[in-house]
Amino acid sequence: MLKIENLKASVDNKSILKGLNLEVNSGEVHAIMGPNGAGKSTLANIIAGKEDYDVDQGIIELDGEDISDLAPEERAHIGVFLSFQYPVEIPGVSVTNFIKTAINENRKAKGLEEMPAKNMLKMIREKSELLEIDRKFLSRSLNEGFSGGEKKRNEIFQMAMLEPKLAILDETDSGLDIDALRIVANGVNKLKSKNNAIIVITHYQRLLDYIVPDFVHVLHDGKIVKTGDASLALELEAKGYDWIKEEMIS
Amino acid sequence: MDLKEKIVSSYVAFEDGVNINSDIHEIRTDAFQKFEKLGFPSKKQEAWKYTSLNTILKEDYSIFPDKEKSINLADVKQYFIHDIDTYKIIFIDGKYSSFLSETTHDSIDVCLMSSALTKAKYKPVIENYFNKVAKQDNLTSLNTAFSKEGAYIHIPKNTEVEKPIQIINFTTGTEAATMLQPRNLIVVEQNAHVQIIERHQSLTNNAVFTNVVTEIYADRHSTVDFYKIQNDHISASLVDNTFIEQQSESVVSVHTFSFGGNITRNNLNFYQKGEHIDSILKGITIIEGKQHVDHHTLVHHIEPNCESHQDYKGIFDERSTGVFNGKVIVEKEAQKTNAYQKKQ
Repeated sequence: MLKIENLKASVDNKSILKGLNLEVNSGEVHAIMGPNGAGKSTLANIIAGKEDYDVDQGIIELDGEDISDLAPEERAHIGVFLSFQYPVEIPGVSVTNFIKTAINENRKAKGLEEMPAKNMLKMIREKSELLEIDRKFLSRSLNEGFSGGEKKRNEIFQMAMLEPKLAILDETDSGLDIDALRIVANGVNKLKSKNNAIIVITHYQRLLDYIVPDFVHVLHDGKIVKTGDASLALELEAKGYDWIKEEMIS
Repeated sequence: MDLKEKIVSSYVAFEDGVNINSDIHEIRTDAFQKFEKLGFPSKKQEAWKYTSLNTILKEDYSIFPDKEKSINLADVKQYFIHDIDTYKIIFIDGKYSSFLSETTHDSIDVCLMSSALTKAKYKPVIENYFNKVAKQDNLTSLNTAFSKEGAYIHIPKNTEVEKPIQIINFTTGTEAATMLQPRNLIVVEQNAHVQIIERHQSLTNNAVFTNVVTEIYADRHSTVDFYKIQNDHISASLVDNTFIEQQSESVVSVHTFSFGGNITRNNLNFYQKGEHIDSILKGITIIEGKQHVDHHTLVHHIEPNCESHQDYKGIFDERSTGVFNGKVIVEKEAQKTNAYQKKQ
């Protein structure tokens, strides 16, 4: 589904990704771990198409199509979803309205009519039941006064509603809040299917207590330096990142 | 967040309290879809040219007052017509108050919409009459989408109901602003006679916005006398949508007393579906300050030999304003129609 080859990228002429390769297939859950400054969030933002980053070299393909020239909203329309580390507050716009607009924009891009309100209701009802989200939460203003857990709940709800092909959950900042972790993990476990793929970016192994990824990648200095299964995460937790650095040197 | 958006995004929470796998809920969600598309009426719509809801839509209404409140009879006694014996269907903040009410199932049904919409024994009546005569416009659709509670009155044929029936919606003002959407259904069978008094009353100066829909079916040779008492606090606004379907030889009269309230809009619609029908619409408006009362009436003469009598009078003091817009439609088949309309 997603294929990244020899990706090199920079911000303000500072090289961050230095020849990264990654392949993600449908039905897989990948975890990307790594120390601070390794380029984890940069990778997520580049896949989603955020404009502050310069792609200097390399290929990013989704289902065989080169997406590196697409605008973020075009990528969203073909099924790329990126959660925000720091979501903005939008007073006056409810969670429901926000998601409704996003879904209808996606449909418009595909030449479809707006989803009838009745179907939307049904979908909201089903997804909020699946994720055990209190319906009253959905009428609140987006992110306004949301706790960390509520922000995550909102993020997972958006993912459930948009049904992306490829979801990238940047959880580097939520490592400390156990409730937030559980919400994200529960969402990933319930929403993963054989037709989608999920990339979870995290600092800590704790999130992986709840999600069992098919692959764990270690990102260091702009490259994936090690790939393994879930047990790699445990090893990282026990030993830290230094042994990988040492392994690389030797 | 504007009120429409608040309402629309609260709908999934409303669904928690109702059976979503029912025919009624299909009707509700169809109406929800319609309201979402149409939104609230604006002055651009011909029917709302002289009445703007903008100021009242700005309030931050609580849509589901979830705390159950009780009130003392002594505090509200003045609002009852208490020197006569009556049946009473009383709601406090949209919730039924069994303490203040006096309902009956003794040969007639004077009870609750929430029962009628959910219990099997009422199903035939609901299937035949619920949301049938009501026009599917913005505010009626909004009410239908949230229809859950209100008065349900069913009078079987040849029944003379001895006591009048009072329907009163009290608002306690425990929320800074409350929005209510009562839904009433009144079915009066052949040769039956009933008198009904309806009132909306807020008990504080907190804002209230009531969007009520009442459907009335008057079968052959029945008589319905309906009294609407609109004497609410100046902070309360009311949109009253009443739809009446009459069969041959029935007589239905609606008397509207508009004294109180901030903005009051009456949409009163009669549909004559038989011959020798009489429809009587009477209104008296006495207001002051900046109060505004708008009467929109419609009488649809479909069959021959029917009459309609409209008589609206008003005293408008200070800067108060009034609107009367009376429409009489006479179909080609409706020969020998006598339609009177007078306003002063």
